[in-house]
Amino acid sequence: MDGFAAELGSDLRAYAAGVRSFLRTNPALDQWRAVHHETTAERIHHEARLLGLLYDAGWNRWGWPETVGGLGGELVHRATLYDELAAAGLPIPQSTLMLETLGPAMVRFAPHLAERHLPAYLRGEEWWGQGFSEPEAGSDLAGLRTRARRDGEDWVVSGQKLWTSHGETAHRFVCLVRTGAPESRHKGLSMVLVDRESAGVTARPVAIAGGRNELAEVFFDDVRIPGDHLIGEPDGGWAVAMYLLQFERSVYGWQCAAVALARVRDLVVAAADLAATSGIPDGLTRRLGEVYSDVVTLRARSTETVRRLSAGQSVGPEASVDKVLLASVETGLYDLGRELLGGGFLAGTDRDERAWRDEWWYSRSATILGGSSEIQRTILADHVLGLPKEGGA
Amino acid sequence: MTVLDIDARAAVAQSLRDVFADDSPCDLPARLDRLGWSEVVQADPAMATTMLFNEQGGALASTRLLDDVVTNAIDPALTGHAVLYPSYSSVGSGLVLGPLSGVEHVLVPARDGLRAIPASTLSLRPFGGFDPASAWQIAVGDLPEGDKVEGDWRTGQAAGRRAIAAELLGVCRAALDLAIQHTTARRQYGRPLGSFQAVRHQLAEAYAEVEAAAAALAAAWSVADDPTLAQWGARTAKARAGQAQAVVLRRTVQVLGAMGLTEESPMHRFVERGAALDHLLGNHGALFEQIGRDLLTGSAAHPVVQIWEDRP
Repeated sequence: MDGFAAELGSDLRAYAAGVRSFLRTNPALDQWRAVHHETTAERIHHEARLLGLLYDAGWNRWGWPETVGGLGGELVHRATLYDELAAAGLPIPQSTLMLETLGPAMVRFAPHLAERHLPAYLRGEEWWGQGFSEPEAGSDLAGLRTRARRDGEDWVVSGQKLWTSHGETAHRFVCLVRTGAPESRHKGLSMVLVDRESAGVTARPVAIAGGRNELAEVFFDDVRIPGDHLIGEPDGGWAVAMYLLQFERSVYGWQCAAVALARVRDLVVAAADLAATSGIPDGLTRRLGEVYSDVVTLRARSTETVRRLSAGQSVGPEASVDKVLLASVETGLYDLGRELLGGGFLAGTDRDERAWRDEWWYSRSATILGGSSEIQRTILADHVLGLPKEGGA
Repeated sequence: MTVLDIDARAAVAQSLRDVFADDSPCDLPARLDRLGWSEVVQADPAMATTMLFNEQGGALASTRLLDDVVTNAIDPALTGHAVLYPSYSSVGSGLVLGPLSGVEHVLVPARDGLRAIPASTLSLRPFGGFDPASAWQIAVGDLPEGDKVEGDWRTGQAAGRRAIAAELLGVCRAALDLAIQHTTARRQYGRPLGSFQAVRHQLAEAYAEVEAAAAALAAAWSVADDPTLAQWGARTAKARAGQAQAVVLRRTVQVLGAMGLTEESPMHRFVERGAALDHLLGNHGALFEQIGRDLLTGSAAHPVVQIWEDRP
């Protein structure tokens, strides 16, 4: 089917069938199957080329407005694409994790920037990093100190970001910076877009355990950015961040669930091998059943959330449930993989074993990034259960 | 097809609460009839069944409503039969969910298919034990051969599992409400228990478990008419609800402190009913084991939910 057919925008079922057929029959896609990259940079570049191929065929342009290089349609189109990629044994391109976190906020709060830069993002020619955390502001995001001060029409940014996802290779950074008084907390923050090539930007990768450079520290030394690089209103950054977190907590959960289901299938194969040789250790059959059920449950929950977001409804504190579930899927799945692979996980040298090792470490971030599990539980306790405030009398 | 909006649903839930709170001798089916319940079920079986069993769980009511769900799913012509549920133990040959006065036949899932036996031939004693407030009874002694009945037990079992999952969720939500009330009101060290992070986070985890199980149940309903997935979805939903029961009640008992262990607080009743319902038609541990075994013997790790497929 033609990936540009106009009816795909309103007929999600036809879109799903079309994208499935494309992903399963196009031989050019085989170069992305069963690959394990040695470095994060190599992986993100290679997978970005997959986006380019999808763009040329139209498929990843659905779900984005025409003004930013899309073909129309809704978030559910994008969610369908990610699911079908994983189901077809293909990667969900790394750069789409930040696309899904940052893209919708850009479309909503800075349409001029979205029009300028998102088409290249969709073509796989650029991607962005998310500059939120700082050395002194992790979970306590509103305590961040990187400043942007006004200078004529421009803004001048100075400070340091830490744990910036994809910071090693990102072409631009979406940063939450302080534009109000030092003690203004969340009221004095603004969201800005900083080009990596701007004078004064230095990014240094932070290797996570296992050796991958998923993260970076980014220094801003009096970086001058044009006035129109503001996303949303001056001092209105918190609202942008809250809007963005809905997507970060929901769509990321969906992407994780899609990959996790493919990983469950890999585990079934590994377990069957084990059953044929040394036998399956006690308890692992039940845990496989639990992990699979967790994945299906996350899919079910995430489907409801993504459909609501897709229909333009806002998803409030209850998105923290999705985040809590995805964290338990990730940790449960990769712990089971580690146990099933046994010595192979520890010392094996084939592609799959190295991939499980890398991914095991990355799975540990599920309880940390996008607001730690502790933050999510506090949000639920405060805003959903209505418990007395923490530490209050 | 959802025919009731949020306000109407709240009104229906309140009516159901009144029905279950009513201790008058008038029997439950008559009370539901007065509510026009069969029309609500007909209009939206998923919502109606889930609400009815949510409320039954929250009210800790012990009825034979499940029998109607199971028999109706197998064959509407069987309505009025009681059901002998597997007891999964060496004790007795099965469970019935309440007294069989006025019941003529009991449907028995046997190895070689469904059978109907005369209710009068069952020798029953109270199930009692851990959940003494339930009306459940255990059949002791040998069962008569009975008459063969056409129909697929697995269809009834799937419908039953979806209903029990909803009932478990009702138990969990009521226990969570009780824990929230208690930790909001009770003070130690000069502040409410619910202001301590250790307490707040336990209850937040419990809430997430309940919502997860509710999503699994909605997924099971979305495939309820799919012959290949209905049983698969219902089993997952029942297992998740059983797991939620274990997680939620462990936490709600803990945050009630010593109060949670007393006869005086109703918390113990939620624990007891939760355990009994988890047992009915397969406890979560056994179901997870079955799911794992099925995956290892060639069943596909099915996605169950497809985001592009907006089923009613």
